[in-house]
Amino acid sequence: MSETIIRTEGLTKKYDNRAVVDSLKLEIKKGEIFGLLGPNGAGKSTTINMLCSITKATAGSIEIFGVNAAKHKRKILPRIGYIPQELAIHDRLKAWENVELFTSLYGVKGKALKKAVDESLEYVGLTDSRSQYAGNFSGGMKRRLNIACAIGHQPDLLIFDEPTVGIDPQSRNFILKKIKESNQAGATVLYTSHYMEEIETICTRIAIMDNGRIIASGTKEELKNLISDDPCKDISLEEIFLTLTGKSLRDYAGL
Amino acid sequence: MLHTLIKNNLKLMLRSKWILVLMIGGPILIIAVLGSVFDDLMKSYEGLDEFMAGYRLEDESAFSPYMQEVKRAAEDNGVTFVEYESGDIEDIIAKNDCAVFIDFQAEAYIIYQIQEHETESHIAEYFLNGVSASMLGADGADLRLDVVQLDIIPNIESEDYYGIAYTIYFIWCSFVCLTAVITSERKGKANQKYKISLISNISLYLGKAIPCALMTVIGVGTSTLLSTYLFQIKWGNYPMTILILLLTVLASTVMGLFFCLLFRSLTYSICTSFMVTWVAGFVGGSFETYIYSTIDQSVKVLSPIYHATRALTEYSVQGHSEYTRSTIIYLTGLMVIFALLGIGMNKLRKEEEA
Repeated sequence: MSETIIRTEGLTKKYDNRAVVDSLKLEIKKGEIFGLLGPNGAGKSTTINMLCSITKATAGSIEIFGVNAAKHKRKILPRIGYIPQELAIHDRLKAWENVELFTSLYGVKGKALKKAVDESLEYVGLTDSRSQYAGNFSGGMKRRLNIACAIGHQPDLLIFDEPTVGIDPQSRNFILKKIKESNQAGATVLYTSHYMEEIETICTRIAIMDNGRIIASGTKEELKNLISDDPCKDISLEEIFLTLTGKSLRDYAGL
Repeated sequence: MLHTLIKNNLKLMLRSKWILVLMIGGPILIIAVLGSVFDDLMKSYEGLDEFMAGYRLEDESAFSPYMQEVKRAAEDNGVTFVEYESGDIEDIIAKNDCAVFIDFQAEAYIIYQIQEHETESHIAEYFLNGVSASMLGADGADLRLDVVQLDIIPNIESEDYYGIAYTIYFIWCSFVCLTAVITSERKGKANQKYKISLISNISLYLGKAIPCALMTVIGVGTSTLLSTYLFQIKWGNYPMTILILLLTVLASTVMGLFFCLLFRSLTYSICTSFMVTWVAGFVGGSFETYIYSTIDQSVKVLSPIYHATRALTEYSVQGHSEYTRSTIIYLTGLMVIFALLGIGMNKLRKEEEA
């Protein structure tokens, strides 16, 4: 049985008594690319923020790499690579300086830091642009740099919060290919996106989230079975998503 | 990791052109303008020696019980008071060697300024301001004047004064250097990346404070070297001057950083820092020299800019200053208080955001 990388129990976040994330139960195994899918305001980013210790949970527990995340932050954080939805880079720093800065925050220094910078830039295909200012980059290049800044310390768990927003198809394909490569190299991936085809392409398991709750989870086949009894019928993830977050949710909310 | 943070934050500051222009070009431009505008005024001090002040005292004047003490204090400051009981004031001025004439009336006094003795009338005004302030708390003839040291310094040239004053003033504007880093951090989610890293609160604080101080030293240091060369500014007592300038850099940096942490809005931070600096400069002699200023001494001493400007000005003209101690104590105190407040605020903000 493979190791559990992330486990949450009753995870809740309330703002002004309104639950943005409500009693969330989540389990992600080692080696998975786990897709978290949901409409705007579903609670995906808040969930990720709690997993990364950016936001404190109102209730519930988070275990990452088998230890309590709240109590062992310094043990867990160096093993997580977080790629935020917004670009976390400095426009007035060169590409290599950005990677150096964010990688150094995990205690990487000296020759190891230099090597990590070179490898990260090579990984995202920005070696030739290493001495250019990030502010001069295109949207796709900035997104790739954003990823390079998060992987320099060689994390075991990569958390992507909508990493392909607003970029061209070439850059998107490149990023997806790299996520798969990282996964094949041993990293566990938690991936959120609005783009169904991305989730469908790369994720091994998917959870659909709405109103702060997981309303369905499993492989694409398992999700398909939730809405159709016909195994031969070709149903897209988008259809599953719309069915579950539309009718099913209203049914749930009406209970 | 602190080293890399300092290095890259310093790069962000150095690559901001308007910060460089402000920190290097600002002092030079203002020293050139004010040094030239106030040149004649400052020169009027040159060769100023003891002088005579004529006065008339009305019988019912509130000053009557204190006149002996007033004359004694004036004598200590090189001003000889000579009484003229009768006669037309203009005739007295014309026929005698009075540099200034004071008419002490029942509850007021009038200073008659003589055209060629403008500076003496300023000194008389400054002196009588001090007398009036002391009289408020005195009971009858028990008055003991504490205006025994007038803020007069010998032969300071306007370029020297404004060179010193604006070096200090622009150091207090060091908060503008922080805007390059804070704007860049807030533009993206760099703050979130810091929160999920291993960097401590203290390192994050120092990661901004140290480059800000370095940038101020680089910016204002360059402008000081250039203005010293261009305007031949005389500093005097270099070790103490450098010590006070460095303490000013540190105090202004931690104050600016505190305001940036206190307010979530960068606009509020800049406005507050600028307002505090402007008021301290106004009171402390950055605009009108503290020599001419009629602001009460008890208000002037509240301004750290006053202490530093006065100490450095006195180093320039006489090589020593009685304000050295108060300047060092004041700046060190500000540095410690704002650093502690800033570190506390940094922690509080981080917890609030979670």
